[in-house]
Amino acid sequence: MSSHREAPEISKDPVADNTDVYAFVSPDRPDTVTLIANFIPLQLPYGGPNFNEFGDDVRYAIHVSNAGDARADVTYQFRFTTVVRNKNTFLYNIGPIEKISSKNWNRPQFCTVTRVDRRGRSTVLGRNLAVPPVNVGIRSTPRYDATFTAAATHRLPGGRMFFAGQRAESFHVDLGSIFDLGALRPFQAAHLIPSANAVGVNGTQGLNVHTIAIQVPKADLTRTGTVPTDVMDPAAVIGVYASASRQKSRVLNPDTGTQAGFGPYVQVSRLANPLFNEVIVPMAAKDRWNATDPRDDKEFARYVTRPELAGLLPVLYPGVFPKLAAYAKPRADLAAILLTGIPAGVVPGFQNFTGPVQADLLRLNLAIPPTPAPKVLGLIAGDPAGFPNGRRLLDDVVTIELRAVAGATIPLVDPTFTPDAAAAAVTDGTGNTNAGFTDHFPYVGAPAGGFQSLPGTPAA
Amino acid sequence: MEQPNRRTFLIIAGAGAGAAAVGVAAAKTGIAGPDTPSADSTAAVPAGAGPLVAYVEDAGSGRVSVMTGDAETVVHDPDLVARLTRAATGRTA
Repeated sequence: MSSHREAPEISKDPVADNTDVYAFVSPDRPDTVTLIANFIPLQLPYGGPNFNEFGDDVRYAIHVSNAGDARADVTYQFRFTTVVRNKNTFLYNIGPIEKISSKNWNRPQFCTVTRVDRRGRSTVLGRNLAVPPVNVGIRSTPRYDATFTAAATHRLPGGRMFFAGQRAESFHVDLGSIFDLGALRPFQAAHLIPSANAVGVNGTQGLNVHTIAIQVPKADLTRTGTVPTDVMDPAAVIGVYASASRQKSRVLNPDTGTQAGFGPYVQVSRLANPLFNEVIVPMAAKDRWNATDPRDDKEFARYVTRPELAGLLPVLYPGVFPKLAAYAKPRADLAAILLTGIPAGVVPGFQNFTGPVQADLLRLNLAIPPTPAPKVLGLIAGDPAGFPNGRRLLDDVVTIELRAVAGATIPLVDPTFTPDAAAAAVTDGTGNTNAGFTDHFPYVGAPAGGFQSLPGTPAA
Repeated sequence: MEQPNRRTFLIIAGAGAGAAAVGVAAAKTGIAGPDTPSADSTAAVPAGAGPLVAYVEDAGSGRVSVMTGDAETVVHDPDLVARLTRAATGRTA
């Protein structure tokens, strides 16, 4: 998956597990940027009585680098506080939660948002901002979207907007097939272990995540403090990543059954480009990757330029990728897309280059306006407002990255190479089958309800 | 003198030979260890000291990492490390 349970250690710590990061120029407020980081993967909507929630002991953050050295110049930190109103019940709610401030909700959460600049200077933008309950069901959280989404959307100083809470999973992928030896159902007749071709199955259908979304003026993020208008201006590009950190030491108290943290915060999860740690970094290095900063990604660059998946495709699909199998050069196309941004001169009229420092960042050229007719394949389909220029909720990043790894983007940097025909066709065959995106902040669809959702269908 | 509260609630031996982590619930003493701390360590405890965790990754280095709140201080104190490692194995200082 994009980054759901993508490394051994973080897979045991879902509250801190960053699943997806999005960064795009806001379609309805193009003078602003929307930054979204999702956490807590694969939530069953009916996962009570202790439903999913943000961790009070986790320091969540979204970072923006604008000076070309991959260091965080602007960081938004998000800290949560949970309140138990009634200590004499096991219930999440003791009646319908008819509004976000309802006393029937026994376990409300609140968030404090802080902006930290490159020098470490902190500014608290908002305290005790209400987080909505999870979508329990029609009795507990009636008319969920209408009742809670706007109520949990907070205006912050400086024209910023903030939302944190449970939402529908936006990322789609055929989990069942991809992790079964790289099968892609639409093409599985050509697999080394073949079966009849079939339509893709969205493995995240019906599942929720916890979203942190902040919308900020462009000028809040650029190195010049201005709004860029020239696409080719290096200062128009920002690099984005998100992280989660825990205190270095944790002590379990057997008297209370609780735990306490001690020491400085240590990063346990990070994410920028989808699938980077998931399918590029080898398993033995994944935990370390999560603990390091993007500016140190040079040590992982060899996994980008010699991607394991590019070697697997010709093996798993015999005879389908002969040109990819024969390509022996380092993958400069993937290095540009994932580690430096695409320099000027590669795609006419486009660049999102942040300099030579190799770092996994989601790079967004702020001078490129949103389009009223977005294409889910983004830049490779001629839509420069989409991935890998930032990432929108609708971007089909699995297909985009599959095609890139399969060689479709090699000609951008090596015109002597002609990709295999399959490189332009390969896909997992999925689309978003969860709640649709909205046209205004926080854009992410409302979460699936516990009562309304049905369990999956087991098969052996 | 008040009897010190020296409940040890985490002792880990790992990360190689000699590694130890020691937590002190309410730091009335300088270190967690045997029943009776030295007079010096008790007298040196500052007022209002909170709970802390001391972590020794490599006893041979003489370094101990002391974590309290969200801060960490690494101290080079071979004598302290020696007393901690003896305490971790149940031996008196």
